Amino acid sequence: MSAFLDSDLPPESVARAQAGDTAACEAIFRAFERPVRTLARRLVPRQAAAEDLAQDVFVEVLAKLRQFDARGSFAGWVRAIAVNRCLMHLRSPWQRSLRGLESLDSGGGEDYPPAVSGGAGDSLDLQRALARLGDTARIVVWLHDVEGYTHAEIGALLGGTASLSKSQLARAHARLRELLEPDGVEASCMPVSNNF
Amino acid sequence: MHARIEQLLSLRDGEPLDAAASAHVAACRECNDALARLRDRRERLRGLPMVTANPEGWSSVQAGLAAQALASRRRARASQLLAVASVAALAVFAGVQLLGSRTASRVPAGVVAKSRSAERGPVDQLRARSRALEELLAGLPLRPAVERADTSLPIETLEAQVQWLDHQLSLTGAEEPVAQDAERLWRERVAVMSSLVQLRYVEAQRMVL
Repeated sequence: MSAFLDSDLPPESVARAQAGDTAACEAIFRAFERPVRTLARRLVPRQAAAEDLAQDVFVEVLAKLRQFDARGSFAGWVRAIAVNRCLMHLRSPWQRSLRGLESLDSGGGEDYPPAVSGGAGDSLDLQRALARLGDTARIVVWLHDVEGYTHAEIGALLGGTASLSKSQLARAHARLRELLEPDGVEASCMPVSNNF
Repeated sequence: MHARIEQLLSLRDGEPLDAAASAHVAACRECNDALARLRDRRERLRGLPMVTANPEGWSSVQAGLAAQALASRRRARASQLLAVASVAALAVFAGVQLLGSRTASRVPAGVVAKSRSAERGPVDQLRARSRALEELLAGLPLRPAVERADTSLPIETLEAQVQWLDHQLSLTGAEEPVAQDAERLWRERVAVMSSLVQLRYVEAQRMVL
C-alpha cells in the first residue's frame, strides 16, 4: 500500500516544525522524501521533471506548514500536495507540448533503461509499461491500485466522475497487459462480451 | 460469455457485482486466471522499488525555501513602492492643479482678457504648470550616488526629452511660431516633467526606505 502511510515521523515533529524548528522540518523531509519522490516518478515519467516536482512539493509543504490544522493525517496532507503538484504539471500545456516533442525524438520521453528479463527486469518492465500509459490511465492505476484512492476521489481530482476513473482503470490494465504479455493478449477472455 | 475487465476489477477490489457475473467467474477457469493476473499485477505495482533518497535533497529544498522567501519579500517591497508611487503621483497631480489655479487667479482680469484676445491663454497656463513642476523637482533631494537601473535610465531619458523640447521651444520662439505649435510643445513638456517628478519622487522614497 501507500508508502506515505508507513512514514515513521514522530508525532510531535509537525508541531515543532510549525513553530519554526529547522531540525523538525528536516525530519519531515527525511520521513517523506522517498514516498514523494517515488510518487512523482511514477506519475511523471520524465526523471528530471519528477525530481524538480519532488523538490517543489517539499518547498510547498514547508512553506504552508502552518496551514495544516492537525485534524487530518499529516501524511495524507503531504500526499495530497504531491498529487496536486504532479497533476498540475501533467495538465500544463507547455509540459504537454514538451513531452510531445520528446516522444518524437526518443520514442517515449520516459527515462528507463532498456528491457531485461527476469528478476529486477520484471520490475523494470513494469515501470516502463507504466510510463508508457497515457497520463490519465497512469494516474488512475497508481492512485487506485497503489495509493488506495477511491474511484470517487480520483474522479474528483480529474474533474470527472467515479465512472471515468473506473473506465480509465480498466483501460490501463488492458494496456499493461498488452505491453507486458504481448503473446497472451490474443488468448484473453477479458474483452469478449458486454452481455452480462 | 466471459467477464469484462471492469467486472473483474470490481471483483478484485471487493466492489458490488451482479450475481450472474460473480457466479460465472467463480466457475470459469479463464476468468479466474484473468482475475488472478489482475491481483498479481496490483501486488507487483505495490512492490515496485521506492526511489532512493537524494543526498543533496535537503539542501536543495532549503535553497528553494530561501528563494521563495526572497521572492515574497521582493513582492512585498514592490507593493510598498507601488503604493508610495501612487501617493506621490496623486500629490504631484494635486500640487500641479493647485499651482495652476493660483497662477490663473493671480492674473488681473484685464490681463486675462488681453491674453485671451491674443490666444495665448493655454500656453501661459502650460508654462505656469511647467514652472511649478520645475519648483517641485528642485525641492526634491539630490539624486543618490548609487543609482538603480530601473529608475536611472527612464529619468535620464525624460531629462533628455525635456532638453530637446526646450531646444524646440527656443527655435519656435525666435521665429514667432504658430500658437498651436507652441501649445503642443508646452503640453508635451508638462507631461514629460510630470513623469520626471514622479520618478524622481519614487527614487527619493527608495533612498528613505
